[in-house]
Amino acid sequence: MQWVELTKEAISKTLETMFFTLVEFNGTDEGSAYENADKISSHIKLSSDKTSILIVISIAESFAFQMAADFTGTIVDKVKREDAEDCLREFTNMVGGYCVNSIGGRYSLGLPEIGFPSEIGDPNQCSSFSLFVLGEKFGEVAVCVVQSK
Amino acid sequence: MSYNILIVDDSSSMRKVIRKILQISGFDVGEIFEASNGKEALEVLDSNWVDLILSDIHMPVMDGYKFLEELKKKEDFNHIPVVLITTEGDESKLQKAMSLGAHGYIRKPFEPDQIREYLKGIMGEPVYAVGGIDEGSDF
Repeated sequence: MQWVELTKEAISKTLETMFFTLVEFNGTDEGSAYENADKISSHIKLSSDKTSILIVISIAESFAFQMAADFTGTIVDKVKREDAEDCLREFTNMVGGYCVNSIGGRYSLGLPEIGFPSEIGDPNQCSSFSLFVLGEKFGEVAVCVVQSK
Repeated sequence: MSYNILIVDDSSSMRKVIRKILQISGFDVGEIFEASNGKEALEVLDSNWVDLILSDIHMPVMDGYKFLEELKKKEDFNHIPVVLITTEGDESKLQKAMSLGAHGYIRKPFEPDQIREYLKGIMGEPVYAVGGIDEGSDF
């Protein structure tokens, strides 16, 4: 699916450029601490006349705190939950923006929001993949195609 | 001459990043002001001298386009260069922003050097080496 590959590219580029993190998309979920970890999710909608694309990014809370610390140049102990959420929201914004830029601006970019979108009705519309760093899973991404009303 | 700079972005994390880049940019940066949308930015401008504005486009309350429109109407402020730092990908929308008076734009994600290059075009050569100030460091 083209959108999945494009989203992976956007995540890779954004994490590398602004968060100094090299992400991998292959690894094993087995025995991963991620499944039991507290998570933070954010989503953004890319809209065209016919379809909308929803990108939903969920990451382990501890990783979100580390991301926020790395991003703003502070230490993780100084990061508050709202900072981590703001950072994830901005990360999602940049991922969405990168996708729109890559396809020549045919989609308009919505505002990123924390939490899951309410408009995903059928899970079959979504393709998911995991995010790993140094072999450790830290997040999941769902890319959903929704027909515009 | 030191430059007072206004950062307009709804993300507090992004404002912190841009502030840090400015602080270690090597340019003669004076006061750095922050606003989380265009409306707040206009309030900052009403009570402070600002030489350069770095603004996002996609923001709640008042977005970057409306902010540029409002700025253009105000004689006291319409000379201030505005550089957009944005995820906007639609070239026609960016051209609209340029026609509203934006000086230029940088797309997110960006390298710090991209901001430095824009500062150089507006503020001239840096006054000291990059990384010369340790202000705000946690270490």
